[in-house]
Amino acid sequence: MFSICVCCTFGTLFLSSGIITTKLYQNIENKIKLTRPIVITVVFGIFFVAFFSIKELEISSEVFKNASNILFLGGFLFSTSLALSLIFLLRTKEQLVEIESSRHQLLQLQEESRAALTSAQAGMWSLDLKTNRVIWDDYMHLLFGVEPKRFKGTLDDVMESIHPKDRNAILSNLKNAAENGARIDSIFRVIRSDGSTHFIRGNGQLFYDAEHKPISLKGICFDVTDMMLSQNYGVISEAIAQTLANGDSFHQVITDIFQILNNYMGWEVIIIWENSRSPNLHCTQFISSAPEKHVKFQQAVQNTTITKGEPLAGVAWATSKLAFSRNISEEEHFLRTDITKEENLQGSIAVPIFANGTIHGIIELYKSTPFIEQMDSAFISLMHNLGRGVGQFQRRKIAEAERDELASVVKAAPDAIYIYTLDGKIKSWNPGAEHLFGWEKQEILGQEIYKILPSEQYAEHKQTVELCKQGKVVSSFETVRKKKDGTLFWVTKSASPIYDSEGQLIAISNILRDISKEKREYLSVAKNEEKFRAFVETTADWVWEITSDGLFTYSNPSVYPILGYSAEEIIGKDLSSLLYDTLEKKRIKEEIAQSVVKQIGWTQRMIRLCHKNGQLRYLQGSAAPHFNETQKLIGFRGSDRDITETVKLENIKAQFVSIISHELRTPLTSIFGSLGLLVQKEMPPEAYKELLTIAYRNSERLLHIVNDILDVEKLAQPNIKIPLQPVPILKVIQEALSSIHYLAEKSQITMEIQGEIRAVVLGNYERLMQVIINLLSNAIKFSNVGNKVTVSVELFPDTIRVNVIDRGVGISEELKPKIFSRFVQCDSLGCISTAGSGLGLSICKSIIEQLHGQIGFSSKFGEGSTFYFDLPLYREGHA
Amino acid sequence: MPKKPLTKVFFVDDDKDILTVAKFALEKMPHVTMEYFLSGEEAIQHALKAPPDMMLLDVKMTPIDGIALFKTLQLIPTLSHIPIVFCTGRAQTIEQEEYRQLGVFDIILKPFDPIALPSQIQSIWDRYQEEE
Repeated sequence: MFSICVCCTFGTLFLSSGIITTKLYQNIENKIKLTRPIVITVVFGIFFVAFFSIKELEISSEVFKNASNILFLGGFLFSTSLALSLIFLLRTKEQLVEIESSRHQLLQLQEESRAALTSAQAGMWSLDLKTNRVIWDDYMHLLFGVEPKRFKGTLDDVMESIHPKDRNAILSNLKNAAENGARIDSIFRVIRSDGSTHFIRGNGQLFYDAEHKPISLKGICFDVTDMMLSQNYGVISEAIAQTLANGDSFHQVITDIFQILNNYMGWEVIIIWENSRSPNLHCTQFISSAPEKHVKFQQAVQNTTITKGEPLAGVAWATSKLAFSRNISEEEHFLRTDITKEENLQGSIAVPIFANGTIHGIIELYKSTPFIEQMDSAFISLMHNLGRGVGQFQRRKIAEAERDELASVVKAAPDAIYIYTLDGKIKSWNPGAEHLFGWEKQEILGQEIYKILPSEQYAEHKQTVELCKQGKVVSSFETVRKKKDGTLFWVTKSASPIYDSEGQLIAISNILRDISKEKREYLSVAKNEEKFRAFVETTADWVWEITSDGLFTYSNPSVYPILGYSAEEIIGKDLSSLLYDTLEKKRIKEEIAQSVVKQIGWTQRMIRLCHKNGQLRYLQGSAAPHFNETQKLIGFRGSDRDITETVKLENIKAQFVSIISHELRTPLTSIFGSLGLLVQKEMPPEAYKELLTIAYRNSERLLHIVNDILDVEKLAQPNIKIPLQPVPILKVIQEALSSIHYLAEKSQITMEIQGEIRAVVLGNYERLMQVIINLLSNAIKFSNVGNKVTVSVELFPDTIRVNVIDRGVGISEELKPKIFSRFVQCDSLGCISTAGSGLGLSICKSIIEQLHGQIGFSSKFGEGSTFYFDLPLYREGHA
Repeated sequence: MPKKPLTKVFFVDDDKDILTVAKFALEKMPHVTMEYFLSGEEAIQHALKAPPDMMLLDVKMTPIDGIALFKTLQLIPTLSHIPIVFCTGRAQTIEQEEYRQLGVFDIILKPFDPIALPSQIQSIWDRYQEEE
């Protein structure tokens, strides 16, 4: 029983210690649950109570016997349970400290969270599900742009600020959260009272009451506009890039870009300004999302041009930077302010269209809300990329158009245009090349370039490649190419290197023009020119060209034999310096001036020029005027023939006629006079004989003259030869002397023969006699009365010389050179007779020359003359 | 002024035959004294002594031809006034012109008509008188 009491006591003690400990805990912090230590303590307590109760019941007698044992056991149990309690207590104390610190931390956290919310520009909201009332903190009002006093706290009030397109989504989110406890997390647009649109992210969840009934939705909202926009910029950029990449026409691309800008950014009008046609910007495209709203603006834009610096496009143009206006309708300097106001256009930005570092135009964007976008790097880069992309597109399209044009030119060109790789493989071949070479494109592509080269041109081809490798363009030159059928033809060729995008030489392009026809013509012209040059250079006539001032610009070589100057000496010389005398200079100067005025040449004009050696030259020729491209007369071209000899001959002829007439008239005067007197007048008988003698003598003289003239003519004919025969020279001389004896006697001239008179010559008897008589009669005629005339014969190995020597007047130096010419008569200076035809010596010369001999003379004026002739000696078998 | 009658004429020719024929042709010219010379020198010498009214000169003479003779006469003041008539076979148009330019009064062409010669000389003299 005792033990039961003891046990009960200990059990109670134990229990109470547990409870005390637990209570202690609870006093310290009733908020912290101590379920486990209490349960453990209670279980232990019950276990001990039960254990000892059972034990007591079985072994009470023994227990009592050993009271100290019991005491010990009781003390042990108590101390153990106390110790355990203390351990628990200590642990609970530690936890208590921890809890306290956690609580502190939580409070700190709560403060920090609030600060974070504030710094994150987040606002808190709650919606009471029973009343449907909305409670906002201050920041919510800022986020929604609604003044607190104007906020009625209804859901409809909230919905009014939300973009109409986002309202349904928000309502459905709230509903879903309220009904199904789903978390709220959505992004929606808010249109603030100032008209600006902002992206807001709202988070929240459902809250319950103690009975687990939903009572409210609570959460926070924060502004994610920047994030959304920058996310959108990526999308916009991508969309624009795709449009630009796939776009066909500039107009279409702008339309598509506008769609993107309209959808994502709310731009309502796009204007493309360009300055390709004028120094100012003018509108080339105007697109509006609501054209009917912007009729006036469109008209105004299309009827205006913008100068540099003029808002808004002009500013972007001048600065090469983005230009924007928050609200263009408030801009003072914007010329269309009134219209923008009227048509409600506010936000505006101007973006330069860039390509290759140059502005090619401006994109202008307008919208009916203010421009509130942050001008941050994302936005600026989006806009710049837009401008650059559009510019590059435009350039690309222009380049493509040019390329297409070029391609069509290449296709249509009559020239052969082809490209070959550096290893000589043909890789491009235009229709012109097909036509020219006869090779179809498909059969020549990939073939060796040598297919179209004659082997003589291989070296030229290699040289072209070398030049192209040095980056040089081979300018047009003439060469030869080979057709498919092997025929060769003339072309002009030019070649240029082709580089890849990295500047590496990859191929060479050639342009060939068929010049076969021109070449043929040229060759024929050249041939003709060569022909005419040959004519001009070889003709004996002097061919020349002079300026209208009379300076020689061309002369053929014939000028040398004519005037003694080389062609080179003549070129640049003044014609007047060649004219023989001042009279001629005056005449020619006037004639050329006349020709210049009348723009005509001249025909068969005689001109007297001075040979380099000072001698007079007669030239006769014709000329034609020579005009320049503007039909201005710049000179004359013509040719002249040296007619000096002809003129001399003409003079001789005139002289001849004059002489002949005189020579004939002189004996005729005597004949005609004497016979006339006899016939018509009564004459005394003694006069008859005298007059008849005169008539007879002069008839003889006349006959002699006529014979001489005929003789000259006969000897001049080349086909009449004098027959050769052996002639004993003595016999001829003797007969000549006797036949002329009467003349010598009359003039008291003595004649003698000297020398080798027995020689026989090869000649003609009659003709030799004629020569000797002639020489003798001259000797007598030009001797003074009483002089001696000697005929001497000298013998040489093969020839003899016959001299006829007189001691008469001799021959003047002036006359000596022309003594053997026809109709030359000497003054006889009081000699015996002057009667003669002037043909004698000329006849003698002709005869002696025909007899293979030579005739000559020596004479000293006033002392006499010696005329001689040499003839070959006759040898057997000669004749 | 009464006309001066022709009284004395010189005929100069180096051809003897022509002089002979002329003598026969002119021998019966009334009141006119004819003098004949084979050379110009001779004629000048005589003219200086007694100048003739008129001189007929052959052109082609040696050593002094008609032209030289004419020029010489022009240089002699007492003789320079004497009308000179060339009697020549060398009388193509160009030559005639040349003679006249020289100052020769007239030209008688060879062969002359021996019968007409006296009246021809007279008419030249008459014309000379008129022109003077």
